[in-house]
Amino acid sequence: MTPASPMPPFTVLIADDHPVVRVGVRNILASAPEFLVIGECSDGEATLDAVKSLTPNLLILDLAMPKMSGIEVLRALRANAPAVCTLVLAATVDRRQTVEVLRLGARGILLKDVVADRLTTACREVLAGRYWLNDQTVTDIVQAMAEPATLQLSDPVATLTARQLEIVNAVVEGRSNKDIADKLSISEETVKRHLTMIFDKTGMSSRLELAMFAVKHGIGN
Amino acid sequence: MEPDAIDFTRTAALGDPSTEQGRAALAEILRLYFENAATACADMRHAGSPDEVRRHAHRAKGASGVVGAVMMSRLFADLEARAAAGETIGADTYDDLEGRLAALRVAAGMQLGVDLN
Repeated sequence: MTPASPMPPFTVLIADDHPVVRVGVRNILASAPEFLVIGECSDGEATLDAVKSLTPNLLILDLAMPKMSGIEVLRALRANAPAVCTLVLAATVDRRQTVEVLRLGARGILLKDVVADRLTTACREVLAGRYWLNDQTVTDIVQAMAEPATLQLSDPVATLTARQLEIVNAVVEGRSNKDIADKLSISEETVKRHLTMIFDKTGMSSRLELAMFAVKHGIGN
Repeated sequence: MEPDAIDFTRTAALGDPSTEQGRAALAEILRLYFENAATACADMRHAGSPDEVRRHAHRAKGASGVVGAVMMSRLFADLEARAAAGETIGADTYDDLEGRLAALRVAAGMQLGVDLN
């Protein structure tokens, strides 16, 4: 009787702009014989090219990369490339981003601070056709996907909460964080946290850019 | 675990600190981490805008998480949030960050019994 041939390993492409993350992921997967790392990329454009040329079984994709973000890569993959199972890596991720990457076809999200602990399990799960959602419960995600604000993810204004719109309005008025905190009766720390979320949601990177964005989108007085 | 130490319980898959092979693997990635984190600090110190600081801090936070540098991950996260809010970060913050990185490098080397310089 001929012995059964071993299953070929799952081929993996690693895309992250930080060398420590790439080395870490590569070393972790090297200890699991069912995975074979066939390529590494450090920006979004190279990732897109590598997916097309290498056709990996699994893409491990960072969200924040130069040239093209992970979100843009997912969009392009959905439009142009053969289907590839994708596990997103992120330093931090909110519910809105989770919903967005799932809508764009990713099978899971793994936070970088649990990569060493959970990577191989997460890879196995998504390659088996299941979802991996870190510590967020399925109920959270289903609820978020049902919220009207998430229905138009291409419209960043629609993703801002009422409080965040108030803060954008205050930025347009030229108020400092302390002024905004006083006006809204919240702490400066809370204002900062809201601003971080607002910058993430709108893709703006400074108060001036945010003010121009607000004027363009008719936010504010 | 000391607050400013590497949490090796979170990084078992990167290498087992109780074996020579595991220690070598951990030392390799930690040397890379400290080298990159020091570069990130220098880049942030000389950055032209808070957004540039935010991007460097975000990358460094992710790398810190991967190697189990829990306290550094929190410090970079705080820096990222401050920069995202438009705050100009003072030199004293970078001095403190670099001091903590240097101390962590020594502590991690002692934890592993290897020289991480």
